Amino acid sequence: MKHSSVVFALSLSLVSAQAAAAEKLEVVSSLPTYAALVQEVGGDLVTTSSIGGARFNPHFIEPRPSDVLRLKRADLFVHSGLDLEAWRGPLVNATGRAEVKPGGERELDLSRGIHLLNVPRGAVSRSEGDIHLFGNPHYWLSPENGLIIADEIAEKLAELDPEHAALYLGNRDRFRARLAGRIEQWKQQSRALTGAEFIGYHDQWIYLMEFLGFTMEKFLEPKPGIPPTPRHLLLLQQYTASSPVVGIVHATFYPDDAARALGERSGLPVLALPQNVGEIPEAADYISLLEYDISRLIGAAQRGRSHE
Amino acid sequence: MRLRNYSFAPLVLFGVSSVCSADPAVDELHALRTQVQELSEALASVRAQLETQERVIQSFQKEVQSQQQDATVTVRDVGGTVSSAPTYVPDIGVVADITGIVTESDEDEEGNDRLSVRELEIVFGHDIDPYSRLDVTVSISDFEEAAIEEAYLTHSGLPFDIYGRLGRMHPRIGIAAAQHRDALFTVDEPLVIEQFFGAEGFSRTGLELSDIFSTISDDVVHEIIIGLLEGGAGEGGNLFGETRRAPTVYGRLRNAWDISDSSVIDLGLNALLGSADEDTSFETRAGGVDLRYQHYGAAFRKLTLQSELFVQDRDTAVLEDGELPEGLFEFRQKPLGLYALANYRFGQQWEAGLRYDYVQAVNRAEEQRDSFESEYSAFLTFHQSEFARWRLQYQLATLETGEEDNRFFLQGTFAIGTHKHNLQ
Repeated sequence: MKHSSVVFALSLSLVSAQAAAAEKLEVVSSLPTYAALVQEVGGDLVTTSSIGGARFNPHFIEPRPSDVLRLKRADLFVHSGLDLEAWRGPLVNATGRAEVKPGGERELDLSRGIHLLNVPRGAVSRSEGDIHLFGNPHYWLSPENGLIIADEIAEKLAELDPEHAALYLGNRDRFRARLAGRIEQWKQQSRALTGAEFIGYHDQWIYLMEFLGFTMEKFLEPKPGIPPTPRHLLLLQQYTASSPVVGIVHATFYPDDAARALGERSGLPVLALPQNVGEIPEAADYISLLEYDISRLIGAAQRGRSHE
Repeated sequence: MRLRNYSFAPLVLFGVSSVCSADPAVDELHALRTQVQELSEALASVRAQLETQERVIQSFQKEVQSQQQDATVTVRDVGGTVSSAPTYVPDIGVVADITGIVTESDEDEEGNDRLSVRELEIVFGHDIDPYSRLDVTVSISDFEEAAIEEAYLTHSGLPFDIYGRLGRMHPRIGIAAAQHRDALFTVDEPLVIEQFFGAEGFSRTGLELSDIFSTISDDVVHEIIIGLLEGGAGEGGNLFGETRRAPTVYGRLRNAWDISDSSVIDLGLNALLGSADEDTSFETRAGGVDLRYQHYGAAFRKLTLQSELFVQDRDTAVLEDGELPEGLFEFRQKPLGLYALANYRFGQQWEAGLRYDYVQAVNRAEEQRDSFESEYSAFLTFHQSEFARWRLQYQLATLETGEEDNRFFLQGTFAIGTHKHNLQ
C-alpha cells in the first residue's frame, strides 16, 4: 500500500510537472538577443530558443532540420524583419505553417516599431555592395530600441496568452525600469565624449553610435559585404593619420586580421565587441551585452581624447 | 493634596507629549511628501511611455513620408529591387553559370573544350495565397532550349502538419541530386548522380509529401519523404527509361543529429522504384545511403564531409541493333555508384576540396559487368562577393575503357535579384 502510494504520488507530480511545462509558451527567435529579451518579459511562462547561434554571423545562418522542427512547434516566432536574415524565408517555408509567415498570428516582426536608420532612397544596386534595402537592420544594439522591443514582445505575449497579460506587462515594466536607469547612466558617461569617431568592420553599429553620440563613417569593408582589401586598408590608414579616430570596432564573428593590421599601423585600439547575447561570457543578458560594448567604446573614446 | 497634584503630573506630561507628537500639521506634511513622491514616480513612468510613443509616432510619420516619396518613383528608378516596393511582383532572381572546360577527350560533348553559358536559371517565387506558394525555375543554356527545371506548388496547413509539393521539382532523394548546380561544392555533379539520375540531377513532375519529427531527443530529428513522379530520369540518366507513363515512387528517411551548436551529422536512407522498360512497371529498384558531417567554425570557417552511395537492382539487356544477341539473356544487375567529398571553407572568400567518384557501368554484357568509371577531383573556390564566385577544378578521370582523361574546369557563378534556395 505504502509503495503504491509513493508511486502514485510520484506519477502525479510528474504529470503535474509535464502539464506545467506544457503550459509555457514556446518562443523561437531568430537571434539570441531576442530570445534573451523574450525571457526577460516572459519569465517562467515561456521557453525560449534561437535559430542563430550566438557565435555566428546572423547574415549567414544555415538552419538545420532541428530548427525546422522547433519552428513547426513554436507558439511564436520572433525575428528582425527587414532583410538581415535571408535564410528566414526558406526556413519558414519549410515548416509549412502559415501562422509564422509574415503577417501570421504567431510571428512578431520586431522592426515594426523601430525608427530605422540609413534607409536607402531612390535606385539601389549591388554595385554599392550588399545594401540593406529597408534600412540598417542591426537595431537591437540601441538600448532605446531595447525598450521598444520589450514593449512589442510584452504586447504580443499578452495577446497570445491573455490570462497572464498582467505578468508579462509587469515583467516588461521592471525590465524597462532597469534598462531606463542604465540608459541614463550611459548617456551621462558618453555626454562629454560626443563626436568620438570609430572605424568599423561592417556597418552594424550605427544605432549604438547614435545612442552614444559617437560617429562611425568609415569601414574596413570597402563596400557592405565586400571583404577588406589592401588598398582600402591603406586609404583608411591615411585617413586615421589626419582624423581623430579613437578606435577600430569589429564583431567577434568577423575575421580580425584586417582590424589588427590597421590597428598596428595606426596605433589605434581594436575592439572585438559582441553583437548578440551569449556571444561572449560577459554578455549573458541584454543589459550585460550593452554594458560590455558601451564600457569599451567609452573607454576607448576617453583614451583617444586624452591623447589629443 | 500635594501628592494628588504630583500624581497628575505624569498624566499631564504624557498628554503634552502626545499632543506634540500627534501634531496634525506634521502628519499632513508627511502624507503630502509621500503623495508627491508617488506622483513624481508616476509622472516619470508616464513621461517614459510618452517618449516611447513619440518615437513610434515619429517612426510612423517618417514611414508615411517615405511611402509618399516612393509612390512617385518609377519602376525603372527602383532598379529592379521589386521586393522593396509594395506590389505583388514575385521575388525574381537570375543565376548564371558560365563554365569553361578543357579535356583530352576528342568527343564533341556539351561544353567540351569551350567556354559556354552552361546554365542560366531564372527563378520566381511568391505566395499564391495564405495557403500556398509557387516556385518556378526556368533554365536556359547554350546547348538546349529553355526548359522548366522546377515549377511546384508548396501547400501549408495540411493535416498533421505535412509539407506537400506538387509539380516539377528536384525530388529530395539523397543530397546532391536534390540540389541546384549553384549549391554544389564542385563544377560538375558527382558521377553517380550524373549517370544514374541525369546530367543536371533529377528533375521530374510529381507529388511529394514529407513530415519532420523527433524521437529520442529534440537534437535528433527525422524526416520522412515520400513521392510519386512521372517516369524517367534526367538527361542521360540510366536509372530509369524514357517512358513517362511508368511512374516512379520514392522514399527517404533523413536523420539529423545536432552534435553541438556548431556541428551536425545527417544520415539518409533512400529508395526508388520505377521502370527502365516501356512494357513493365516498377521492375527497377534503387537504394541509397548518404552521410554528411558539417562543422561551423569561427569567422566563416566550415568543414563539410559528404558521401553518397546508390545501388541499382535492375534487369540488364545488351542489345545489338535493337535485338538480343543470340545466346544472351537478360540478367539482373546491381551496379553501384558512390562519391566521397571533403570541402573546407577557410575564410570569407576561399574554400577548397577533394572528391572521389566511382560508378559501375549499366547495361553491359555480363562479362563486362564490373567495368566502371572513376574520377579524382580537386577544386578551389573564390567568393568574389556573396553573389559572385569563381571555381577552378582539376579532374583525373578513368574511363570505362581504362583510358585516362585530364580535365580542367573554370566556372563563374553569378546571381542578381532574389535567389534563396529552399532548405535541403
